[in-house]
Amino acid sequence: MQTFNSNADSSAVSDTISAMQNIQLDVVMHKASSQKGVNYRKKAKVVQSNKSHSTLTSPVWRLPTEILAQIFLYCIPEDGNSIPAPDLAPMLLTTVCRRWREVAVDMPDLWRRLRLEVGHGDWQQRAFCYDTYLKRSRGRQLSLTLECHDNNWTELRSLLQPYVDQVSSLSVGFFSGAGSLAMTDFRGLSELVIYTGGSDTLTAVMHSIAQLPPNMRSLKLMDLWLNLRVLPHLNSLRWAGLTNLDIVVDGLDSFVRLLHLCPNLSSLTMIGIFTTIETSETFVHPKLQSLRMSGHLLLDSTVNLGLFNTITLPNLRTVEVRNMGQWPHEEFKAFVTRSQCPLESLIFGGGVRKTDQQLAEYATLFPSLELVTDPTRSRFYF
Amino acid sequence: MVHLVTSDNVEFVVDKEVVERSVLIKNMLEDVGETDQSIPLANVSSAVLRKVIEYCEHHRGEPLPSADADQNQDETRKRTTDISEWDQKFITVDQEMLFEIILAANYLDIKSLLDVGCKTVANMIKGKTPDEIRRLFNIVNDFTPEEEAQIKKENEWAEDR
Repeated sequence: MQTFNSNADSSAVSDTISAMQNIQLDVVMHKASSQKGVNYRKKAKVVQSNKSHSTLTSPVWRLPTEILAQIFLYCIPEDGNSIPAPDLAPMLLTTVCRRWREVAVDMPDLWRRLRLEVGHGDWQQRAFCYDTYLKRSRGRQLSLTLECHDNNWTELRSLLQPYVDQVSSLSVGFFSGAGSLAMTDFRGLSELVIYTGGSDTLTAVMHSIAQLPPNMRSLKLMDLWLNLRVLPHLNSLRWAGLTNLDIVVDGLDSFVRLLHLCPNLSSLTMIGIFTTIETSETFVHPKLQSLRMSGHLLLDSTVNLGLFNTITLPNLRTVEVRNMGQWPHEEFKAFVTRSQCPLESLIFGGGVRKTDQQLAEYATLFPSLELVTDPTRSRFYF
Repeated sequence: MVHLVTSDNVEFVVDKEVVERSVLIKNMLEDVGETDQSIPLANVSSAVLRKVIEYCEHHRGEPLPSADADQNQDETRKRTTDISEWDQKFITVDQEMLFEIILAANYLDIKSLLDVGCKTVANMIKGKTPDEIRRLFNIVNDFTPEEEAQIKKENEWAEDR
């Protein structure tokens, strides 16, 4: 970006313009007031013109549009998708002056992130506000958060109809009473986060994610306990494209099933209740590079999970574990030896009992291994 | 050493490594090769160039941001407005100087300095009402009554929430 505003660094010019406008206004006002009945329209026009030019005296006015645009991008709230609010960018930026409004409205990137809620308040007014916002994104990829409270998704779906193909990232909140929302409608979706509130949302969520759009790569299912009873209902063809999965499981048997379901997975984060694996099948997953797990086991638990006996991961590079109780050292050592994986990073968070000797053995097995022991890491927040 | 001459005709002699944080000057030096001739900077005053050189001196040797990194940041749009402690102190100047530094960083193509300036202005805007922003930057509310009505309509639902 290389722009130079030719009238930029000349405050003298803008001072002169301002002074000239004041004189012009005085002259016009004097003439007007000497006539019977002031021409109101003419006066308003002159005042408006003077307003425009006095804006030139502001140093901020001297910034070229590209720089103002860059400043505006930094004004967008950093923490996720926001509800439209007049005291927050981008809406705030449209209410300061005409130039800011023109620049902000003409910047599709300012209008790509939005949180939409349905289920309370005046929908018509709200829909107008959302639609005005989304129109300004002008075909850019959208990151949306949708929340449904005590309602179905019909209104929201109809509002989003013209924009569905733009949506690349979606967070969906299912609350009590919410029906299902077909994710396949969002054909351009690549990232999906699902979170829930209330106990009766499982059916709606399972219907919604049974089929996933063809380009979906990343899925996070928060607060939703998946187990072997639920997994068969998922369409294995559509889940096969996933490369990143963050999931809460009820029982470790789901682990092997998930790896079957998602052969292209490169990153898996799994939290939940870890019980001994009952399956006797073993499985080779050639793509998985990152495995992060956090159970509910106490530090002194000595449950033999059998987890690492069931899998071979030849491409594994990162392992991070928390709340696993007694660390199955021998089982893990046999697993990495069998997998012949290029392990680069092994991280022990809180709630994992291991010995210095075990750590030393890992360092010998993988001389360039990044070995981290950090008891303050107690939970994964996703 | 590189000789720079500002718009008010002041000459600065600066280390090549320092001055090459400006992509404009770096490219210029690559094009013309080694030269004793001064480079005229008609759009930068001596007061502003002094500040710019202070910034470049401090960040000497740091890797220059790539154009790709910039593009990726735009796409992911996770823009943080955090500014390092030294940069914050450096950019604590009056508004006139702040905008001059931003313009100079843009002209000289010093991406990291431009970012510091833009983030500073963004942080000044955040959390303020339109009236407070107008007062802060001496901006006149030049909306026509029709435009005011349109803005009110757009904000109506959001305000009533």
